[in-house]
Amino acid sequence: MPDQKRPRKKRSAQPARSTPSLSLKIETTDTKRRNVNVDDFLKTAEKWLSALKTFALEQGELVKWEIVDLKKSSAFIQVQPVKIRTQKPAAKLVKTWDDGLRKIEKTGRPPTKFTSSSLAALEEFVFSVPQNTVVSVGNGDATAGLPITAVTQRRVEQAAHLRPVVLREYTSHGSVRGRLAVLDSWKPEERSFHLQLPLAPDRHVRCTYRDPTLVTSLGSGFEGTVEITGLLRYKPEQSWPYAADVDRIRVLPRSPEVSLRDLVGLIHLPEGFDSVSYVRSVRDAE
Amino acid sequence: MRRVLVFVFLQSVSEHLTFSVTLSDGTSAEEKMSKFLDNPYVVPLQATQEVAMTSSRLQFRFDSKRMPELRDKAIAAGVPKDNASKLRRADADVLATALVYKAARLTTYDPLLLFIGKTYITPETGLEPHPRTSIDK
Repeated sequence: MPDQKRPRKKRSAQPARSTPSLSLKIETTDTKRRNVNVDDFLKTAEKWLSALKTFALEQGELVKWEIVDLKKSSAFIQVQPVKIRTQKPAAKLVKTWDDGLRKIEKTGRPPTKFTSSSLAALEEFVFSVPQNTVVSVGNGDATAGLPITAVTQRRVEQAAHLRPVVLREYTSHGSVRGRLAVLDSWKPEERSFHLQLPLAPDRHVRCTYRDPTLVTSLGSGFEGTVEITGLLRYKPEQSWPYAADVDRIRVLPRSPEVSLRDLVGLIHLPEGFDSVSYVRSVRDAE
Repeated sequence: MRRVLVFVFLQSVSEHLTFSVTLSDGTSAEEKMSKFLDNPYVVPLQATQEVAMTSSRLQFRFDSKRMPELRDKAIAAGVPKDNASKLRRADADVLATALVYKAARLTTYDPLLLFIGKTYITPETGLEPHPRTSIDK
């Protein structure tokens, strides 16, 4: 039989990218020690994954992240988001993330799909790059990796600060002073009153309270200035609370016992200090 | 009677005065400061989310690492060198509070705040940081 040589099958240089994926690669800059420190790898990978997860959540995508490739030689990991409901790869999520990251790197401006939470998580990742390493992120294409450099950090920081935070109604524990002007009700189930704010007279803070002993404070504070302490409720972009759950009430004196003028000359300026520096040191407890 | 607006940062001053500052008559500052802060015309202002974020943005903006001309311009305007490189947190809190609560005037003697106010803040927002020559005015 004639000698027939089977043609050799050429190995492709890279496997065909059949599924959308994102990659993280860490290399050391130390030519003598090529192995990446495991702590460095795990911490960086954790921050990277956290940024990906936050991004997916903000996009409304319920996905799990699966490893599709893992190489020791340069601490390389490739992951793929898979939709929990359909078990199919979330290709659009990958593209949006990758395109967005490259836009940030190029312009320092936040892409539309990157919320302030996504940018904050991304900022945390890019600033977690270990010393003496080169960290690159990619979209599975080995030639298109994006190294995380000082420029990248600066661009992400810029983008994060350009994205306004969406404010929601929130609460904060604190105090507010106002004129006790309206008593809503003495009924136990409707214990509330209104405070009129001195710097925003058209604003009333609706104060509710549970402790019945506070009623005596209300009586003596009527038409005067009281300070309430408790859980203050704020609407977005409003400087003043609109409501409060009151824990304590303090009735303030109707006329001041110590005025601003009385404070003049209380403290002598130490030698060698100018007044601005001294007041700043007192204020900042230096 | 005059209304006096006192920013919340004074609360931290009063706390510090309570524990570590003796007045010129040898007594602690606590009693006088507490009584002054109980003045019904003193309004401590809460550090709301908006104040915190505005303060953060001001610190980010007025930093010579990002605004290289800030330091030289501030020094040329008379700001001491050790205070000319960036807006520190406490000063940013004060300025942010004034901006968020829409104050018309911010009384301050801090040279960097006065410089930033005159050069950037007043033209952009109308808020005027400037020193007060007398407590009667």
